[in-house]
Amino acid sequence: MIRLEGIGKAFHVGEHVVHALADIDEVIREGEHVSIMGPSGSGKSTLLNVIGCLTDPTSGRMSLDDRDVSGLDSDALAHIRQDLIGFVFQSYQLISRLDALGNVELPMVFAGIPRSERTERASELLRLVGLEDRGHHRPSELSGGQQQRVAIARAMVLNPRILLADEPTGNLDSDSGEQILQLLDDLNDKGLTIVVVTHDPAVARRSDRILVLRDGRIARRVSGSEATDLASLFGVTET
Amino acid sequence: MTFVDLMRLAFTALIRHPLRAGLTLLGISVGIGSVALLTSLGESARVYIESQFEFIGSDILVILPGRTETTGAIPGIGGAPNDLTLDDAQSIQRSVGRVQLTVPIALGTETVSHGERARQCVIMSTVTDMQDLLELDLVSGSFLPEGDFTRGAPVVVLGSKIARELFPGTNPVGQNARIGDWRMRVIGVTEVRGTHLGVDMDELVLIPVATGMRMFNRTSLTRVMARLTPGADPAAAEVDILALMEDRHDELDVTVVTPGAILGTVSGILDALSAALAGIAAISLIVAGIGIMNVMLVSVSERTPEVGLLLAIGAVRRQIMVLFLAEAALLSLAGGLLGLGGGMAIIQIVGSLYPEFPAATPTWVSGASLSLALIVGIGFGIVPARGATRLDPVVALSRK
Ligand SMILES: Nc1ncnc2c1ncn2[C@@H]1O[C@H](COP(=O)(O)OP(=O)(O)O)[C@@H](O)[C@H]1O
Ligand SMILES: [Mg+2]
Repeated sequence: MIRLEGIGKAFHVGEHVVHALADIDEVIREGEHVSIMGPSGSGKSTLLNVIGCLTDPTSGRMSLDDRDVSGLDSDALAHIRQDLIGFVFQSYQLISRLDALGNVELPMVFAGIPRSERTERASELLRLVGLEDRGHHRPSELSGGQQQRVAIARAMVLNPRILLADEPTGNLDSDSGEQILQLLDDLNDKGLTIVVVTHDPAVARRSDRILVLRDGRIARRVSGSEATDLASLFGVTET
Repeated sequence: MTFVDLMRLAFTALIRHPLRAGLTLLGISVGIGSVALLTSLGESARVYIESQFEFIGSDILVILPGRTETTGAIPGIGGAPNDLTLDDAQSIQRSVGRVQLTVPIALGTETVSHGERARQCVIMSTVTDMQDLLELDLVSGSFLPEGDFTRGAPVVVLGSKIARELFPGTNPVGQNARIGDWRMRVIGVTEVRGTHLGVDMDELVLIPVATGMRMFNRTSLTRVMARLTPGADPAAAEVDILALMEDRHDELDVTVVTPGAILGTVSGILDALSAALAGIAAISLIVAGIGIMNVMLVSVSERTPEVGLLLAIGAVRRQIMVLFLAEAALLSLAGGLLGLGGGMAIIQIVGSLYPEFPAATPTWVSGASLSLALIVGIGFGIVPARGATRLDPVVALSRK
């Protein structure tokens, strides 16, 4: 589903070059649930953004769903994101002036899906995340956990093949976080490929595999059950 | 993304900052309002002035004593021209085939009185044919009598307003009026005509030309008006008249003003006026445009994370651009409508204050104002909107 070959990403900051990613080779299969862990600044978000076609790698090749996306222009990448990828962010990124339904509808607006179909589909997704009675609430009228569920509904509304989540529970208390993780597990059970960036071993433990990054390289690959040990091993509990 | 979606996204964004949107809207409405107002006034002035000349008729030439180099200017200031005489007027009518009719005019100012009532009036000394030339109708009595140009009877035709002022409640026809020391018999009263060429026709006092020449002790006419034979070329008629007058006076000492020359001069003045007004309006529009640009820059900067999100959920850059342009267009169009409404309201007020001035907002001005509003909005919105499309999605998303 996701194939990375020699992916590197360098940022130029003034005269300095920061190698956020170097030589990443990885294959994530369809339906896998993968966590990315590592110390702060190790390149976790950058890797997720490369997979999500939000960041152009400076080297290497990548294919998604057997489509080579290397070197595509920005419009083509936008269409790949539209077709294949759903994003969930730590800070939800809901649009405050739109209600929950409006936020969930948004990807369909830009995909040119007719109005009638949109409302129906958005309501369906809100039902999936258990917020069918909150459709006309603005984000400010929802709790953090509810906002993140709206964000997941939005990410899922165009039926993506891959869900990318960067610290999805980072701003939530453990109960709300648990609900979100359960939701992600349910989606994964239905065959969705999920990649989660986290520094929380409790989150990583629920995944099939964990990629541990260090200085932009994959330092270790371990199974989800080894998350607790890794926390002490890499000191990744600090952000 | 449908038009409705676009408008909803743009509108909800705008009303989140009502004061900011309101002030920008006010700016653009002042700009567009002044464009609509000044253009309407300019157009109305043109219509008004041209209607004044239409009244004289495009088949009328005016012959003035004296010579000026610039056609269309008012001659007779300085120099000592030969008199323009009644004989000259008659000979033009007789000898110039292209001229059908000439009407001599001598103008003067004198006090007109009846009993206690008196007022200062412009006295137009002329002949019977003037009625035909000015298409004057009478409410009562008759016009100046036909007959010898050189023998003036002590009779007068009063404009309707003068008649009302000097003879309130009675029919002046058959009664006497004084013009200066002259005792005159009122023989007619003209119908209400209003102002033409800056002269209130209802305040005219008409007397036979010979009477006027004696009254004002003049040897020269003030002007001769000549009506062309139907189909005659005014320029050719002008040449004929000048040749005849040169022959009669042994020098070229008259000026012929053609309607084209008058209109040309007037249009020139009006064009300059319009350009000046447009310049003023343009400045206020530029100021309004900068206001829009400023608001859009702030809006893009505030909504940077939103742009990042839209890119992440699959919006292409063109859609982001259209989104922000729609916002600028909505703002400017609303401002344009408000401004146009305000401008039209002021025009209405002007129209009701000066009923004889044809104050109106032409349809093309309304259309042009709104188009201009859109152009300004989109024109000044394009830089901020392009700024939004150039954002890096990851950087945009991480902006707080
Ligand atoms: N836009 C950027 N410009 C410059 N440097 C960046 C940028 N984004 C990330 N980096 C750098 O790349 C490295 C990896 O960043 P990131 O992927 O955010 O790490 P993590 O998510 O693991 O904390 C860091 O050193 C960070 O400073
Ligand atoms: Mg990060």
